[in-house]
Amino acid sequence: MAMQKDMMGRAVRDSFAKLDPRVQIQNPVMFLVWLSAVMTSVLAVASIFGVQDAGVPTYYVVTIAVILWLTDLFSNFAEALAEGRGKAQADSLRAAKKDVEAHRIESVEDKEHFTVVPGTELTRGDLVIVRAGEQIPGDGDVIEGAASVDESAITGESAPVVREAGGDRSAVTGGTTVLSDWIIVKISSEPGQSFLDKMIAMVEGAARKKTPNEIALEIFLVALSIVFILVTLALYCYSCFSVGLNDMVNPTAVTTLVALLVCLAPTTIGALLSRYRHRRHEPSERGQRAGHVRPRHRGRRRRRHPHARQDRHHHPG
Amino acid sequence: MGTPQLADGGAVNIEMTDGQAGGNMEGKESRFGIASSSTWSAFTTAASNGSVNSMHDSYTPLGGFVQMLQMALGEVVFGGVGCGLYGMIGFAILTVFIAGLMVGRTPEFLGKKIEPGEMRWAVVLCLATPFAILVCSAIACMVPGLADQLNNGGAHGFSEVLYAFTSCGGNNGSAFAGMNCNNPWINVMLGLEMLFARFMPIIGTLAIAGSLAKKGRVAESAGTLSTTNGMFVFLLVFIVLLIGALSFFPALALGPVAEFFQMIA
Repeated sequence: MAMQKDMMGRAVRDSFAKLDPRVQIQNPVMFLVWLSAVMTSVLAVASIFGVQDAGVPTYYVVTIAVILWLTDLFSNFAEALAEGRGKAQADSLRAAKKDVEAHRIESVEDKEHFTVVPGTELTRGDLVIVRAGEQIPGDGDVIEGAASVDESAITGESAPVVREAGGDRSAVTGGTTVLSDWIIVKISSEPGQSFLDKMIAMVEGAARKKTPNEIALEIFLVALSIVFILVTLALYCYSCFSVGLNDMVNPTAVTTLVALLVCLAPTTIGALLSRYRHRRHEPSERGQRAGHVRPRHRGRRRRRHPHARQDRHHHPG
Repeated sequence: MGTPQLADGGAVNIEMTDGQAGGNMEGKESRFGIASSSTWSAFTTAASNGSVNSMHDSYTPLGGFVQMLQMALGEVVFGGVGCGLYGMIGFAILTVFIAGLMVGRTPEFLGKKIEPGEMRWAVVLCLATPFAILVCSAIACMVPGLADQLNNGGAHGFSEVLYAFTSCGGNNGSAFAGMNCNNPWINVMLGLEMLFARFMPIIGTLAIAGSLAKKGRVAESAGTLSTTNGMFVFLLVFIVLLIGALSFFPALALGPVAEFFQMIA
């Protein structure tokens, strides 16, 4: 709970920090709301000092400005919260990765003499021996021995699986734990390129490209926003013209038009989009608590996992 | 019920009497009468027809509202002659995409994948009409001399302007009457609007056709959103109305809708 509170506090702080226009412009639709908020605030200040916006009362302008700021802050908060969860996830994965001591051996015959090296220094081709209770220091293939391995940290599979030399059950992943017996693993990944590293990068969103659907949705939303800006501008022109025809004094207030623009514009989808962007790789809270990735949809995670095996489908749990 | 303009004068008797059937016969031919005239006015504005058998300017405010809205939707109600189909294809692509995202299906149309390239042109295709109408009519409203070209003041005067630009942008060609468009700058304005609203969608359609033709067909699977059932038709109609309504209701509110409320007040 303490962690939850901490995360909330950070998200609240971040939601104010995100009011920076350089951050806002990354999400064009929310940037529109931000601009509207700035504009109504200017009008509100002008209204307080006696420069009326087409005769609307001051409290009206101030209320709309406040509502727009709250809308923007709430969107930022949702985004910051999602990012915070992603960060916590990455931290717990990193914790699983660091401080692993690898027992490097020179050859398969000489398994009694090993040198202790940090797991992060292993390179492709190194041989390590992993005994019961130890963590496997990196991705690789079992070349001798057989062991039961707890892979729940990576796959969410709670039952231990057997990994043995030869055949198609020889691949192991760094970060998993040997439960019984021993194996000699030949490391197959370069430092910083392991599955766990890729997963951390993915959770942090650094290595993710936008999907074609997201790009298409953004095109649609931006085009709609442009049309709605035109609708509002046109409405102001119509209003000025109609005022002349109807012998009235004031056209529609700019504040009202800005409010209309925010109502028309696809802000809800825009806000959801930023949320969606961060949620995609965010595992459920259950897994996060234990520092484990527990995919909600197993089949999907399997496909992404290079070491996934068909044989595990038959395990219960 | 007559129009506010008829009621204002007070000199015209539109009541049903022994000598006349009554009702708003202004601008209508006695051969067709009120019901057939208004039915035809709905047909002609829904298709890119342009023929009229009565003066649309003389309709009641909401009668004019229906005519303007149907043109503003962009020739997709029946499908305009020659170019109604592509408008609808643009909307179908948008619908496939939006509906597909909502229910988690891959956006496909006629066995072809819809990707950002097609999406960009479909958006151009669907939004060119609102864009042309809004921009041109807004600019026209800011030109000082426009009010002198109108037959009527008030909200009805604005309806006359809006109708002229909607008709040109919607590729319709019918006229509201009541606005003197035969004036160099209005003619140029309307001409440019017609050029844009006609050729931008054509360019968009050709671009979509080109990129779809290059793609292979995707086999139909459980993940394909069916485009042949009632649900899709409902979604398609919904999207057409949504885009039309969001783009034009503010403008229509100042014209026919305002006039209607002034009339019943």
